[in-house]
Amino acid sequence: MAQQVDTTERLLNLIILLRTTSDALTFEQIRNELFPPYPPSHQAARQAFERDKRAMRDMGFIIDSITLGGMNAGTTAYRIDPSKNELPDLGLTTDEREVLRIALGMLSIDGAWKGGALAKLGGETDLDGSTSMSGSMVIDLHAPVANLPVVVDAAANRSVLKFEYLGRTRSVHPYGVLARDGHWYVVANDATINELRRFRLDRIENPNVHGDANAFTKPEGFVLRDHMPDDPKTMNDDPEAQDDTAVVLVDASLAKGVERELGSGAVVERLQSGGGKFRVACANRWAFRSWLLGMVDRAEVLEPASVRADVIEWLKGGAK
Amino acid sequence: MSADNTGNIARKRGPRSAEERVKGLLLMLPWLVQQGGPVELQAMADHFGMSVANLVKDLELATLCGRPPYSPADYIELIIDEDTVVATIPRFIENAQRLTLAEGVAVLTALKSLQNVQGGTSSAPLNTLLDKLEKVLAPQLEALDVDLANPEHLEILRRAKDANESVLIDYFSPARAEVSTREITPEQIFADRGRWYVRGHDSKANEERTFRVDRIESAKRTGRTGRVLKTITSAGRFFGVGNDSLTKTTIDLKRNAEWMLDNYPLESIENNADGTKRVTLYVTSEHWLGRLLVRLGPDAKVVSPRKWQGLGRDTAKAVLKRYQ
Repeated sequence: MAQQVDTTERLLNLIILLRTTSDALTFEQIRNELFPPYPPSHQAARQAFERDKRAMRDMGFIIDSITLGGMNAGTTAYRIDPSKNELPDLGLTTDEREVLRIALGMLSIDGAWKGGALAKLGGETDLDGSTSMSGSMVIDLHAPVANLPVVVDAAANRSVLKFEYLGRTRSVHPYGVLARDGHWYVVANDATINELRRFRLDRIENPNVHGDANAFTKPEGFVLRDHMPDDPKTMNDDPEAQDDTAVVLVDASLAKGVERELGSGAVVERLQSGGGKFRVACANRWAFRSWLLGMVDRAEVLEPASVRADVIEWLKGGAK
Repeated sequence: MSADNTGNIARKRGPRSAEERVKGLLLMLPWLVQQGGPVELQAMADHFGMSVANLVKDLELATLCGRPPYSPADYIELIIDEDTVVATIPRFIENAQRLTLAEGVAVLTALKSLQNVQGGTSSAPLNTLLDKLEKVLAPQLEALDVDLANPEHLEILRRAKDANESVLIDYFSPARAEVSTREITPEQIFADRGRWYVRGHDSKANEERTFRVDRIESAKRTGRTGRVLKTITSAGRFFGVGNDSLTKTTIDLKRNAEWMLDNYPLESIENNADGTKRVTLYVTSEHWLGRLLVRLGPDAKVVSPRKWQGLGRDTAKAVLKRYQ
């Protein structure tokens, strides 16, 4: 029990230390100044500090990581800059606060964020039932709480963002964050190859803002949704693939639903049986196959031959 | 955690973690400063939905916190007596009324979601508020977008729920590939992983059912008071635990099939020694699971129940026949 009290006290003291320091502090400086102290062993202290950093990020804090020069060249120093972690005064009227409370009431999101906002907007909160919801509807967007504030901050301030993604370090210019179909994406220019890329926020590790704000310019008229296809079947996953549409025969029992989903423009032929042939995007073979096999044996890809062969091969693998 | 029939999340049991306690204090201390004087402990505990005992423990802990060199003037100063607490000097708790960036992200996400559902132009107060935020938080508003579907019949269902009224729907079931007419009483309307669902009493089954709103082909309010179920499923978040009509199913997934982890409500995920992942989920029907397994292909293997261990293979064979 005493162990837990020390951990809680140290975490709160660390937050206060990093928020009130005028200069960013190195790990060794933090270790020397913080009370209760980290364990004596360097390795154990480092592990505990990393745990605390993760906890602070989970709470929504943006921690500046600054690489020092001069005598401390290469050493990282840390601080929590209040100006990055607090929004300007919104000056809301009573009616506007009420609209915000209603909107927050239907959102299922991290309890501390929501509870904090509700408390400051004059509503009640509930620390134990921290994701309680109210109102006619409930929306759960599965927000990746540890990464969302820092990525939104980088995009809003046009700062360079560095992170680990699927085993590689990326340095990107984030243009914006979009929640769609239960996932959150950051659309960014990958600075090393100068190409636009989409990254899933829940797969990003150790995101850090590097350098100053206004480090890049977003293209004029950039609209986030335009760069995030809403049909995963159109997202090409193989630059070498030649065929990006397929013709699919759908049985009568499902044809109406498929036409409703794809639109009448996708109809190649309506059959007397009630079934139909549809032209369907297949640039992303995985997404296409998943969509097709969702209809089990009530649909069949007819052409092109390469896509049909892919599906047959897949089915043979599953039938073993 | 599990949701009750109002959508609230059941309280967690057991000791609170350091992170949970600090999160709570970061919320409570600015609020306390904002009150500008003594606050009844019971009233504060009620406000934050916690026990007085836990509240006092946390406030006492806060008085031990401060910054180097930890001289008397460097600590958070609270006076706690038998019934009240007061923040005498609001050290380190500045801008108590300002939202943190994380809270701001929650607010913007909520507003963007509401804007999606209301069609963006139908709510004057919402648009006035967004206009105002545009002036103060323009970069953040521009940097964050929520694309949430607004299916055709959502508004009818919401109004029926608020009026406790039943709705006549034509519903397309892909499992049976048929459209059926049924009278439902919406009790929960929720969006999960980008899709909208309505849950409530279904006259056709005469029990609780969950329907995907985008599969409702037509919906009409009946004007009749609906039948509200007092025993509506307490689901793990929204799906799963507590519904007897679902079958608990365990599947081992190889790496290529891990996309499933992001796309379905799962009861649990464990790491197997061989590097595969063992997931447990609640399955509505054999047909549904067959569809899932044929999409997962050879990278997934049903562990239990035994009756479904060959289902993926059988479904793949059935589909393969179509190509022969």
